[in-house]
Amino acid sequence: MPSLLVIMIFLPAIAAVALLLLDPQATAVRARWVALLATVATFLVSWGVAAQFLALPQVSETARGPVHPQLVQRHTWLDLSQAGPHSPGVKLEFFLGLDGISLSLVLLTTILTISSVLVSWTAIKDRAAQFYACLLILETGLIGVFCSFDILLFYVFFEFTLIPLFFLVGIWGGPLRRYAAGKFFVYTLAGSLITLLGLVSLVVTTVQANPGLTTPFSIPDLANTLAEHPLTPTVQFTLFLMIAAGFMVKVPLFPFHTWLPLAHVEAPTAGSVLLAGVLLKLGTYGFLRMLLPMLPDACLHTGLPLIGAMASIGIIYGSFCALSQNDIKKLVAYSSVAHLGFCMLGLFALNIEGISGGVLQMINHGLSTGALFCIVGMFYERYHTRQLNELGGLATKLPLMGVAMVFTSFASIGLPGLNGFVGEFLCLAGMFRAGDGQGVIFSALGAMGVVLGAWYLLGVVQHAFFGPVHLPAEHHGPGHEPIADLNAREVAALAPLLGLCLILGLFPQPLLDLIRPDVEAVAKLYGNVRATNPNAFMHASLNNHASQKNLPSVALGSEVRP
Amino acid sequence: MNAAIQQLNNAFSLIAPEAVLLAAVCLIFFAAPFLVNERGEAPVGLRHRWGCLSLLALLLASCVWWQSPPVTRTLGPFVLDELTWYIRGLTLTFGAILVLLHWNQADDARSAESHACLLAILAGVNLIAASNDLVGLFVALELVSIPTYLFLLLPRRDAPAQEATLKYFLLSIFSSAIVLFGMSYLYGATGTTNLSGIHAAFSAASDHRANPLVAVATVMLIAGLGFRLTAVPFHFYAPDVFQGAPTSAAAMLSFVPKIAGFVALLRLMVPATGAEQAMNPWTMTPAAIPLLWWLAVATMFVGNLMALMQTDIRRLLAYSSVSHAGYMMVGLIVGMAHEHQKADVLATVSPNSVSGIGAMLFYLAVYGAMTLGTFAVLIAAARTDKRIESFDDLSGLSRTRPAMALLLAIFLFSLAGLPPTAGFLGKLNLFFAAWSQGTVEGQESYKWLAVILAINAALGAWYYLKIIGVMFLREPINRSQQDTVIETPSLIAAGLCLVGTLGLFFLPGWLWVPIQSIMP
Amino acid sequence: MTATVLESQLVVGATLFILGVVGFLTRRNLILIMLSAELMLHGVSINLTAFSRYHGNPQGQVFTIFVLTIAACEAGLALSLILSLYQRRKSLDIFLWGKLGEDDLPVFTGTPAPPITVSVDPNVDLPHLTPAGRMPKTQPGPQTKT
Repeated sequence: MPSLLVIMIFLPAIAAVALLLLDPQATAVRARWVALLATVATFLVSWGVAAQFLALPQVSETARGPVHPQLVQRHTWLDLSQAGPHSPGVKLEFFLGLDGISLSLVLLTTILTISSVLVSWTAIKDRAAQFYACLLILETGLIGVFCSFDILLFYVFFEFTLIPLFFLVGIWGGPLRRYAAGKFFVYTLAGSLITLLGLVSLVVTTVQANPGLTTPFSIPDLANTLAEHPLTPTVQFTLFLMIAAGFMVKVPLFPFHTWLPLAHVEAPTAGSVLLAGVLLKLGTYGFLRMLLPMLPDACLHTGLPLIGAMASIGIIYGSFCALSQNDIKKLVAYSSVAHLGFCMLGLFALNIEGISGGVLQMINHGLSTGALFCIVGMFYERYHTRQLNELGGLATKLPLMGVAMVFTSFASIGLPGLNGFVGEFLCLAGMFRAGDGQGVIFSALGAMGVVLGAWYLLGVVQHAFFGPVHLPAEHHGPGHEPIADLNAREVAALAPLLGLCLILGLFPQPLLDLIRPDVEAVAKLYGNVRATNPNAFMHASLNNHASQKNLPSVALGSEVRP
Repeated sequence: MNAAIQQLNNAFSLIAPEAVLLAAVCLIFFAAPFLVNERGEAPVGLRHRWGCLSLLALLLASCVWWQSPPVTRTLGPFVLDELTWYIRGLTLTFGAILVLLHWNQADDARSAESHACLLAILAGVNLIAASNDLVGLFVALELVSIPTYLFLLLPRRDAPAQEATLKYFLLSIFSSAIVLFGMSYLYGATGTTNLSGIHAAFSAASDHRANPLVAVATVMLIAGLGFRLTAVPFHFYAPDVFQGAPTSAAAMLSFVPKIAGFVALLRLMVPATGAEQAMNPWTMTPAAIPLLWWLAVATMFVGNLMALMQTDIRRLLAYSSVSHAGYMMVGLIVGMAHEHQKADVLATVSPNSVSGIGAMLFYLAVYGAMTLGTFAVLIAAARTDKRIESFDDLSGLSRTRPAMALLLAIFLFSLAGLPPTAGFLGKLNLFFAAWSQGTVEGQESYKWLAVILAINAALGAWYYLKIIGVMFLREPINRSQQDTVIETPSLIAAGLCLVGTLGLFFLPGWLWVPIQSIMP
Repeated sequence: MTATVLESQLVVGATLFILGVVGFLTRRNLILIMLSAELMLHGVSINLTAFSRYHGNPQGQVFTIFVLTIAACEAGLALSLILSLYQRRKSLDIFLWGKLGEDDLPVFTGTPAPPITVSVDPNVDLPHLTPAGRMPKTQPGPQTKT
């Protein structure tokens, strides 16, 4: 009997294969019910896994390394040590597990997939069985990335997600879909091949320095080894740049973001939701999983200034680009660039507040931007336009949608009481204290981004939903069905996302507690690095010391409670 | 005299599977003319019998292969070591797939000869792997190339096929002469044609200056065998031949000559298990490695960049096969450097590096599965009146024949090196091998090889994706369903290749363990 | 046998080989191309016998016999292939066989081979050695002008 974890990963894929093999000509009706059933089942299983995870006893801080998965499933994939006396003694494994960070991202994935099935309900009529099969296979890939703790398995799932998304964008997308799908695919593939090279060289370098390590591909073992015997700073620098390349494209950080708006605009709504909601998180998760625990020196001395600069430029640049857009979907796409910038700022603050803020921001962005894309898709279905200058006063026609839009925008802007606030605040607060003064500049730029974010999103709300009623001309004439407000299905798609935005805004503490041990374990690495590093300034280590004493993440989490 | 007979008997037992195959070839060549009348007509359905007979011969040869495990090396003309054993398994397996691909490609009257040629080619590849002598190696290389001419021409004797055959024939004979020239100098430098003897002479050499004869021989051998590998700049015949030749022959050319070339290079350049590798400038390695380095880089870039520009699917696959030859050359070079370095007692070899030769042999098997699978789908998806030539012929295949499109997409993703297919693991092994070798002091150029490999993998993905895009993202141009035929043998072959492509991803140890025993 | 004799024999072999290469690359007549390739093989044969004599072992001569046998096989096959090609195009000119190639590259045809002038022969279907390559340029003089 496979464990619940394995069931959770492969249930959607099995459903997809069944859908394709048993009933390839399935009508849209049947296909979407199967898909809904499969995603809901996966969601329930993921809660079962979460219950299993929470029931586990707490691991003491001394017993764990920087990465400590639980509910572990290890099976040998390729054991080279058995092949002969001269073959390399390394082992590849199917190594699945969960820690707090990945559990929260898995839950996000399973929720967002249900919403994306629901928003495609009537929009997808052509080749529906294949569409839902792609969606389900994508879900397997995404959950797989978060659950794999073998470097190669991680990379396998990471790359595998490209294939279903390529088809989702390319077959069911907008007018430029073929170009968008190709650009997205090749751009991310090129980046991740460099990452693969970097990961291979990380493993090779580590193994050559520590010949006793027989499972160098296992992330926890590798991280433990590297925590005890760190690599030299120059080696770390090269490896950092190589491994970060693919993740930078995926996040996307500022100069590598050009594939994102195109892919978002052309993708079908469900594709956009999953792309923004989860796929971009693969990049940030990769940074958190592969770079932060493995290469502390490089993260501190290269990553902090480099990624900090890219992220803060991305925040400002993305916000200005969003401001100038007329197409709402493109606007939301650029806002993703900005929001992911906050996330990266948080992660590379390299302290507890920052990293927990970064993780929180990943979840928040998934929820709020996912919901924004759902809403954009819903009114595109009604009015067949996304142009801001053709819309106005929608709230009088569609009051429920107006409420949803206002609420989501507030969540995305970071209004206190909603989730965006907690995440952004923690990220900026973490960054403010990091990096010997440069963090202040980055977080100041980030704070400007918050203001800009309010500007462009409230601009959309004001222009499209309030003000004089102004609707596309062709929809006034007779022969069109009257345009109705959100129906029960659409409410069902949005409600969980909006509800979670509110809950996470009011009570972030359970989530922070969930990810806390893992975040602390990573941040502890930087405590050590700073203490032992002669280059670090005195006040930095003092600051860090204070932050460990005060346990600010707990305090900050409770501050925002009303 | 008795000793000589004894030695011949022993030698025969070393090449028993090839003897079975060649006996089948003789049988088919003798029997076939009696079943065709004066006007060149044969009973309908005769080709099925010849196909079954070929499969039977391959099965018999496989039984013999399985019964004859590797034995210790002798100084005789043939050798049966782990490499021979592995390559035999590879050729016999993929030979069966090629027989299935070729099943309906030749008409009833000429099916017998073309099947016999295919078997002879396979026997030739096995003999290359088994030969321990320059004479045997040359004869085996010719046993691969001479039947190939017939195999290219027999199924369709129209003008493009004739032109393809002509081009292949001329360049093949040219390359044979070049290889032969290299062999003659190698013999001159060492005084023996026995490969073990040659390597022994290398390690016994006291003269520590580079030998001009050996250097010339190395260049000539690499150039001549480069034709078989389709290494740039000896690749230019490949696209034309692929375009003109029958599909099954193109499938054979994309894979079988590569095994032949790589195994011949391995036999010539790297001493087999247990033998001492000489560490002096007298050997071929110092001259071969820089040459092969540049050839590999040129091969990868030219193959991928030219493939990007193609609109004919066969030409595209030809350039793709060129680029894959480049990837495999990376493995060969790294492996040669690794072996060479191992011989140097002063150098420390990392215990945990993957051998480049192992990576290359793994990639060879994986490449066979994915490329033959691609051609199998092209044969199976063809219409009765027209084979698949341009992108338009594949347009909208996912609508008209979704299962075929899915199969082809899996093979193409594997060629592009995406998980979860064996192509990914193959490229990963090459990366791993090249990078481990590159970390050695003074050998950083291999790191660049790994980087170039990564760049080319990304370039390659673009054109494979283009084909997938044509199949899935475009509407069919001609929607008529009635003229499709069910090509059962090709479908079986595609299924086998699919099992290989996916199976080797999940259970790579199944192939990797025998490979690891090849290289000490 | 001394090294100088060996050297001169090797020079002969290499010369034959290079002549073969040059002929192979420059001729337009199928049969002459094939013969040039044979010339290359026989240059190698000379090398092998020379080395065999030099080293005093028979392996090189054995190799030569194998080379000769295989060259004969190749020649037989080549002639039958050339015959079948001739029957389609009624010419041995290799430039007639350039249909396959890159789409965007011009097909190089060269100057067309002069027509066969031996019209008195009733068996026109038999292959003839067409004039291959270009006519050598004669000195421009008053008698060549027409």
